[in-house]
Amino acid sequence: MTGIVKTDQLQGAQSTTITIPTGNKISITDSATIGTLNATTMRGVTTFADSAVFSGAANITGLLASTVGQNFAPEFIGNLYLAGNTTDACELNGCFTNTHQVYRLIGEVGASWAGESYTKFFFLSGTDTKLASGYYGRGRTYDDASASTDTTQADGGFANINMNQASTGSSIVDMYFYRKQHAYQLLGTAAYHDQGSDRGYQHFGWKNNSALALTGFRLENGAGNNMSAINFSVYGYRLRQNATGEMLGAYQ
Amino acid sequence: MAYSVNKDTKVATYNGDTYPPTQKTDAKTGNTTLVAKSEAECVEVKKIRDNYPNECLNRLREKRNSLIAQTDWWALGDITMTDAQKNYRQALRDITKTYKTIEEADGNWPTKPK
Repeated sequence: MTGIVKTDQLQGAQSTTITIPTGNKISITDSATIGTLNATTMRGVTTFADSAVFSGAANITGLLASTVGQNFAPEFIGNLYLAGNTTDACELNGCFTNTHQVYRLIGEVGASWAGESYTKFFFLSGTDTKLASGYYGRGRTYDDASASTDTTQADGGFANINMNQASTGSSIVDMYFYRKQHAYQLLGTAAYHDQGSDRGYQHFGWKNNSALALTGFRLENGAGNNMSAINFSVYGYRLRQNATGEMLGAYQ
Repeated sequence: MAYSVNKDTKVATYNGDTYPPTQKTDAKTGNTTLVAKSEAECVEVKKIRDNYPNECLNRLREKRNSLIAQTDWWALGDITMTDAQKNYRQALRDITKTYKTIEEADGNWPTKPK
């Protein structure tokens, strides 16, 4: 039996809820429009065939998955912010976990030095213990005065993430931390303006073979003076969907 | 050696020198706390501070050496170095006698002859 009910309003008889019984569904014919859908939860696979506009905030707690099921968006982890000359060392604790295998650390790093100096980068392990040994690698600067210099470490006490930093400015630093088991590696770039009016950039690659699980990082002024204008954010990448550990593989 | 910590500011004093606290930020909450340096940490920072003049001098040497290296070809066997070129290289070698940091030397480097 079919029929057409013409009405301007539906209203519950016993309560304010109108229930469509299981096994039944409402079909809205193609091209019919809904003025306002005041839904709080939509279940099942929902396809937005046309453009979807979110004029308010879009809070997405699940993964942003591609068609092959991989997460392709970095996830914001945390921010290390230091406004002024109040300390010579600062840490971001609890930013590295098994959820992500690769982290991007980006921001600006400033400090107060008498002359040009650099910023020391340390990993933190366990309960925020500074890892002050086992750093290997090299950094090299290239600047407009062609006075390129190197920084090297072989079982050194820290990683240098911005050589030749002037006391009057801050470096911009962009680096990736590959969380590979027993072969933690940093790969990055920094732009600098040194005390001798040279401007340029630094490439660096650092490695630490620590068997300890790393949980965060620490920045220190290489000259022992105060730091300034630290604004450093960490984003996490899942190298595989639902990965629960570090990257594996030979480390030497 | 005298070691003490100001309970309010968390600034440590060790052997008459002051050492600022370390700022710790929790990545999940964004909360920050200031933690006073231990006596061992103060000793470590003091070593860094004491060695800083040597580091500055080494950086000046690195830059000086780089500039000298750019003129090494003047000393090849089939080229005769002019007095101006010799004086320039000597002035570069001597710059650490007058200046101890790149900042001090900035603007005072010898002019490279053509």
